[in-house]
Amino acid sequence: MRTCKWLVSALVLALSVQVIACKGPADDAGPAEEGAAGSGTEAAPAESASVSKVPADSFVQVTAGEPETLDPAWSYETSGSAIESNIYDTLVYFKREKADEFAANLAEAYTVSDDGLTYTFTVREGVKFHAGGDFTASDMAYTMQRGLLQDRAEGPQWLFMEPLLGVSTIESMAFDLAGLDAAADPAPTMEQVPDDVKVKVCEAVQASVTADNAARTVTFTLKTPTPWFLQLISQPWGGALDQEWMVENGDWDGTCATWTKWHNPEKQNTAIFDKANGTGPYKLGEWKKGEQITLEGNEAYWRTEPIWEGGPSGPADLKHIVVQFVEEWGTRYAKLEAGEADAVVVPRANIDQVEKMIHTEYAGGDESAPSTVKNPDGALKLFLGYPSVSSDAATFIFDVNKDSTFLKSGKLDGEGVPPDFFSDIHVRKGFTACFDWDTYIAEGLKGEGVQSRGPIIAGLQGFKADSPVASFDAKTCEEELALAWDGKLPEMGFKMAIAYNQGNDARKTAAQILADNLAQVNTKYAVEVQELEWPSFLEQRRSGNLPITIAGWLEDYHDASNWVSPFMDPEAGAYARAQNFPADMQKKYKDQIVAAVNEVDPVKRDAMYADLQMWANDDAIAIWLAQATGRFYISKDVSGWYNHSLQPGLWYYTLSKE
Amino acid sequence: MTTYIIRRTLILPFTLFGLTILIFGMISLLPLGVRAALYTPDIPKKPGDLERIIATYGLDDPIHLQYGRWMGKLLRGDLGFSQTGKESVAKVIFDHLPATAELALWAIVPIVFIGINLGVIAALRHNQPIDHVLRIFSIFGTSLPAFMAGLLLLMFFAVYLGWLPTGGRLTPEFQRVVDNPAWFKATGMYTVDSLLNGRLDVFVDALKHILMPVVALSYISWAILMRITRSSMLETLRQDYVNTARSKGLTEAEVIRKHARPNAMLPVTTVAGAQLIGLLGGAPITETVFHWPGIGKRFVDAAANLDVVTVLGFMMFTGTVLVVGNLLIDLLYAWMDPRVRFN
Repeated sequence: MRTCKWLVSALVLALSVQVIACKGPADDAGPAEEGAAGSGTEAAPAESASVSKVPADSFVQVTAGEPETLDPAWSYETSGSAIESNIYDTLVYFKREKADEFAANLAEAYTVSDDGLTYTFTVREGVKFHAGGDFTASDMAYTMQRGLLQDRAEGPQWLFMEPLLGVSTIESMAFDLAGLDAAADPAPTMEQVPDDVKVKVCEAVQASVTADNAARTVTFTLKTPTPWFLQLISQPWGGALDQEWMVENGDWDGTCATWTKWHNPEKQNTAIFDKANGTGPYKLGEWKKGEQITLEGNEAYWRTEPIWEGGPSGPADLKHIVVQFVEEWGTRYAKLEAGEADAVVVPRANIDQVEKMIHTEYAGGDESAPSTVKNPDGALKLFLGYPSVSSDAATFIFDVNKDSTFLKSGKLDGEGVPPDFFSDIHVRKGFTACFDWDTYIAEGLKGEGVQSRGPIIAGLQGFKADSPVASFDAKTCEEELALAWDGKLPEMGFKMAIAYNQGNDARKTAAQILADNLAQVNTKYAVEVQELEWPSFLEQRRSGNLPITIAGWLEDYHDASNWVSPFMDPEAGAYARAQNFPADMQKKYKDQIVAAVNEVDPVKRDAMYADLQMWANDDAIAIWLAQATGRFYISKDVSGWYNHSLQPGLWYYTLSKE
Repeated sequence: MTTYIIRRTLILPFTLFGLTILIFGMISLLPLGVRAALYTPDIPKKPGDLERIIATYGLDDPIHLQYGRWMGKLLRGDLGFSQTGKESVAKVIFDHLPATAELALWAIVPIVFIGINLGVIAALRHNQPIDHVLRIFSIFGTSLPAFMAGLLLLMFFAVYLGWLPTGGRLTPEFQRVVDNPAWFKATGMYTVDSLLNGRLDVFVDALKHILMPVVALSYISWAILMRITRSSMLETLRQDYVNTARSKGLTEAEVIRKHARPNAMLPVTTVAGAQLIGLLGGAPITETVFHWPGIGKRFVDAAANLDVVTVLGFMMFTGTVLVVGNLLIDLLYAWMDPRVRFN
């Protein structure tokens, strides 16, 4: 009888534990856009963990995406930029939530010439780098020159290259000066550029950003007026580096004889890949790869006056920051419930699970927005409904690396697809017609988004609310695919894989919708959905292995040019460069993009961007997914958060705990 | 015994050679673009890049020349660059080994002691209630997937009771202590280093973190070991020499301690040894559920992200651990059972 009781007790315990466990979630969401900023959907400890276990001077954030590098000149994704923005200071910084007003930062003051071509900054005295070096004007010039000359492929430097040098890449400038045809096959390489031309390139870069240490000035000389120039240098790419320290650590020495050695490096080959020495409110503690990054408050931080009225000054309130990388939503959720985190990335698909934990809901992007107390015992603040400046797209790659495993057999034999599968417009149009936006917005975005009408988002030049957009139509999908590849597809079928970044549930939903609808049109159309960690996803994309890239774009500056360039500029576009458009399309897009950027008449400019928007749809270069509205959670114990459209991730300096 | 050790040890290089042939064979089957990553972290991006890498590293040379070059790199500890680990593969293994070793060493204690002792108890109480209960528990253990065991523990002890942390090796405040340059890092195993540094608070924190992964990992393994011990004991207890020992007038306790248990331990040693070796190669599922930064988790990350270089490097490492570990088990087996060494 005793044994029987034992057995019953054991079984009851085992079953009860399983029932409790069934309440848990089982999915994940994520961060990470290409481009500049973006914080994803974040959440903090749950009601069930009413007492946070994180000390008052610490902040623990659990996210899904790890940075690729901590080198601000190399980074062009939000996970890395988010960390860098806390370590490095820029000459000026955004005045709180404003994207077009700037507060003095490392520069005490600045002037802009009447023609908009010369920006002169007077830098602050007495600022020290974390490693102890003094910040000078020449450090700032070195920082910008190093970035321009580094100009890694598909990196962020094109943003500065065009205003300062009038070219898209440093290589195109070198090839032009050397008389080499960049479009030749095989393409020229930097090794073919004569040494004297390399020196000229470097001298041109140095002339575009000059420093006068005696006068404490840094001067940027632009080729064309660039209204968004201050927005650009307010972001981590403009974060000041200590030249002396950089050279000691094996980076560029600042001379024109050597720069090519540090040009277009692999991410791990730069001196500050996993090290940092900035002047910002936080020092890099340690990056345990695959695990976490820690930041420690800079107790010697130079700022003595509030950055803006009512803003923070002096050392940061939160002294210890831990950013943990946990891909599994279940584990992140457990940390949330256990009160081990102040902010956790929550997939939009799982927002229902954290709704019950909301203490106060704010209808806007900061605590001054109208608020409602939802649950007095809740542990979260929720901010929602504020506009976001990001959108997702599934871009088609016209010519994929032939060794890519995503192509399966790599041939049109029913077991794979050829590398140039998407060069056929019927394939692209067929795939587009197979995408169901209603389901995507309802399930992937929980209704909090609108279908994109092309690369350009609402509110910018070129955006027309009544422009034609694609829609889900299984019949069109079937017909278009039947026309593709000489009508071989319906009989032969195809197999391929598409990828999304791990932790981003909305993109996973998009991939699955596409795969399911294609399979419904024809059971021989087999698309496998694969998740990749964010850095691996980016690496696979850069290597040209992904036939379709499902990713997002978060603007670097608020102008239509920053939306058409990523998706359509064959030289500088973060996505377009890897899409390998045919030569005629490349020329058509590039000419229009250059003309639109240089056009000063707003009406003509609007029409030019509208044309680009239309071409992007007509040529079906991507499935333009949706633009979501903002939603952000943070622990109710944390104050000071506000939404800034261009701030990558969290800027911990403004945060404090009660 | 000495002859046996020498003979058995001499086989080791040949076994390892076979392992390298196996791994290199797999490498040879990879597309050139993937194989290039073994030699350089530079990823071919532009037309002509791959051709340059092939020429530079002789990737189209005869296979024996390529094998020789690869072996040279291997002997220098160069396993290539890990794109997912963002370091050399050797450094990734070196950095994550202490976490895995710590987990394995803590887990093997309950596996061996609980598994063997419960197996002996079950055998001695054959078909009695306690035997049935233990068998049910062992069936639970062997049939419960590791991820399920981990999640159940996590939800119950970390989330609902709040007694234990959800994952990782230390809480952030103690992590800062061990990351401080002043910390004496002897083994990289926090439960050991904390005692060497005289920090009981760090030890307790590390222990709280490792407890659930150890339980999740060891429950399955001790359940297997218990079943094997039970079977082995039952078989031994039926042997003639055990009956002889009883007829000599020895007490039942002496019969079990001196005659039955030592002989029953022979197959158990093999299984326990294999389990320890397996643990040293990483526990991917448990490490993933508890966000334990060990080799297993990195292996999963690499495999999921098509990082073939890292996967092959880890295979080389775990293969070597397996070969060397098996040698040690064989030697131990020979020491325990004279019949093995005399044969």
